[in-house]
Amino acid sequence: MSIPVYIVTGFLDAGKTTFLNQMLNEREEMFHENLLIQFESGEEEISVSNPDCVVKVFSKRDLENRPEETSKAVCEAIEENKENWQRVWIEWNGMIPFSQLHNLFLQPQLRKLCKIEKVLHICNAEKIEYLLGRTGESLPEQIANSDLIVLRNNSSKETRKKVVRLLREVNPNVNIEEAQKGNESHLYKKTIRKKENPIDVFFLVVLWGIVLSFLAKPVLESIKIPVAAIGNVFLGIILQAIPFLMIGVLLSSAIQVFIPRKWIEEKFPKSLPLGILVALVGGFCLPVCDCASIPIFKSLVKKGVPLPVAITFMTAAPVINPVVMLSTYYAFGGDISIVFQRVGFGMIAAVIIGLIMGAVQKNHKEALISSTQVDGVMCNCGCYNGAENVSGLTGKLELFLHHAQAEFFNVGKYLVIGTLLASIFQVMGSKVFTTMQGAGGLAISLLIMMIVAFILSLCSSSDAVIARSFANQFPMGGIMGFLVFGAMIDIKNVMMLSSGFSKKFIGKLLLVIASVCFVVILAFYRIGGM
Amino acid sequence: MVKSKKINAQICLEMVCYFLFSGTVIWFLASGKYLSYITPKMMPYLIFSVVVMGFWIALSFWRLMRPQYKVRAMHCLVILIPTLLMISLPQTTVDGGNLSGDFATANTMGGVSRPLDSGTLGISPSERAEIDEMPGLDKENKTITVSDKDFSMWMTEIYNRMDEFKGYTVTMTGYVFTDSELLEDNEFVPARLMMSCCIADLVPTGMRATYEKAAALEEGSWVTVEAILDIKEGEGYREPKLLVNKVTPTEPVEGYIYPSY
Repeated sequence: MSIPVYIVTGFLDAGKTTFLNQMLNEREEMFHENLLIQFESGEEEISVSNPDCVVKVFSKRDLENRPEETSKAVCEAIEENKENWQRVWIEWNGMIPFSQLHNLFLQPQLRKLCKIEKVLHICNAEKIEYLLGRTGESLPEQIANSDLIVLRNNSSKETRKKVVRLLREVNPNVNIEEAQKGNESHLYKKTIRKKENPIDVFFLVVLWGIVLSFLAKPVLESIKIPVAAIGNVFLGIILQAIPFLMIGVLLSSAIQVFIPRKWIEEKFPKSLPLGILVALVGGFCLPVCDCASIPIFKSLVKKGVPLPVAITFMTAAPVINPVVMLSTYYAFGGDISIVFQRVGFGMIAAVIIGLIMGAVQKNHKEALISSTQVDGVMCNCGCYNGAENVSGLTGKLELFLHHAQAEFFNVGKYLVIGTLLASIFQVMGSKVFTTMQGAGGLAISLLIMMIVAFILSLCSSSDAVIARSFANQFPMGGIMGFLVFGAMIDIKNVMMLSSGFSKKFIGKLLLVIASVCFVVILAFYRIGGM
Repeated sequence: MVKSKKINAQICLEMVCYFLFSGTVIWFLASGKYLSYITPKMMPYLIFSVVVMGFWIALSFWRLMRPQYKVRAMHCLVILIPTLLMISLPQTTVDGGNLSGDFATANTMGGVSRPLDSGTLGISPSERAEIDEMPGLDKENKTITVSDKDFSMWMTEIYNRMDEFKGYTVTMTGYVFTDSELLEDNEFVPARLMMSCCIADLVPTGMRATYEKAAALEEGSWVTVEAILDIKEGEGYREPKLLVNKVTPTEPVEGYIYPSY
């Protein structure tokens, strides 16, 4: 019978002791024999009404200077009365890495005796923004390892929103509760409740998923939803996208790990026009589809590349790279003028979009979901070392691979969702598109084609073929809109951008890209009389 | 720092998923099943993914014993879902949905309303077979027998040398495609599905065929046609067309065709 251990972490004065007092004074705890171990003496004294609750205090200095002795002492304290302890509560200091405590409990003697049931973090909502990133790695590490976070001292809704966002950056999907007057029992129940093993949940989800898909297939097919076709299109798109996503995250990770921030600040062209030129050249040299350019874009912005330049790169790369040019050339029967048009419009639009976004999004850092203060300490893949702290080639290589892996899963999640949507639209929407005609003038056709391109989310190396097949129903201006706008942004891209950028930013970006493409192509075709 | 004897559950799960995914991809490539979803051009890219995953597997081994309290698992669905789909979906050539209802001819995947100049499809010189050694070509009897695997090649050859082959008797197999506004009532296309990049861009490809009983043909049924090659001229374009003598129902042909570039 393992004794459950509850660890309460938090910075100085966050309110750990207060919290512990509340928990230990709950009615249920009255009937238990509990052991409370403190590693920090806070401002408040532990005042437990239950006489069977034993308190042992160890000093932080002891832990730092004499770690082995202290761990032995902790072991002994627990072993002393192991038959009778109902629970062990630990108050853990905010400046000591959580991993030290975790390692303590991984030691064989303690592993037999007890098991860490819950890790809580008590957080002062007013102070946490200031503290995170300025007090070293221990604080984010504790937050990242918490099962439940308790917010104290929350004054307003805005603060709560901001703090929740910050905390979720470090620990996605963590439960966050607010400590208010009167909800002590609620907090207690949440604390005590057994937590589920994520691996078990995963297997359950997979099993249920398989069962449900078997059951749902005949049902969906009976209402004329072509499940097999959607599945096939989905798999085809994903199999094509995954290699490019890998290329993208590898490059993005390389930028994060191997290129120091100072290098970019010093070496990158200071003048905007030159920077934009570099972006265009970069886009030309990268023969990847839009799945790869998004992680690279995120990385560039994080590293401090000016926003207009990064955006020009992101929008130009899927349109002006050699693979896309080649596929467009062949799709249109060797008509080089189409290729010139696509590349030309692509470059002009990309530059204008970059410039506009640079002006519109004055505070470049706000675009990113992650705030730079946390970034300096950890990247959102959960490693607590900034690349600057890691030395040696092996260390950097390890970080590089690990970071690429984490980003792959992070962005991949959105890729899967976006692809599912695109597959559904592609299969179900085919009938709708055949009935659409290009009547109604150039502007309407252009708009329709742009919407179609956005929804279909075709890979920019294969959309030329589909565009060509629309050539009988829509004027060339519309087709060009499909080719240029669709390559720059679509549902898949928007989803992938959500993994690192705020919704407001993505909305602005989408609007600007759409307007610029529309205006540039319309103007050209109207004036050029083509 | 004490070495933990406990295996890190998250890293273990990730490693298992990497193995499953890589293994399934290798099986997919080796068995040729991948051709139902992506073109042969994509094979090197998928191999690249397997190699990268190999590095991640190595990294996972290295970190396997690292203690980690907070374990996550759901992210593994990103690679588990494609793996399960690869295993479970029936790999028959399924129509992915014809987006514009159009068909493609040899002058690459395009309808005929746009005048195209010099529409030579870019075939690499190495793929041009010697005139007399082309499979299925019988110059003496003036016949061309298009085998299923040479469909794509012959489409291009006939388009490029339509004057030379005019009057030849051509035999080819395809499925009946009539659902296009560009086809008259007495016309159909004996078509094969062509994939130029991935399953999303599948397009029925073939030559326009004139047949008096075309209207009676069942859409989607597989037929072998025997026809005389002719040339259709229009505004600024010329394309080969078939004057069909005989239509024989036949077994469906598996597999997509791919452009020869």
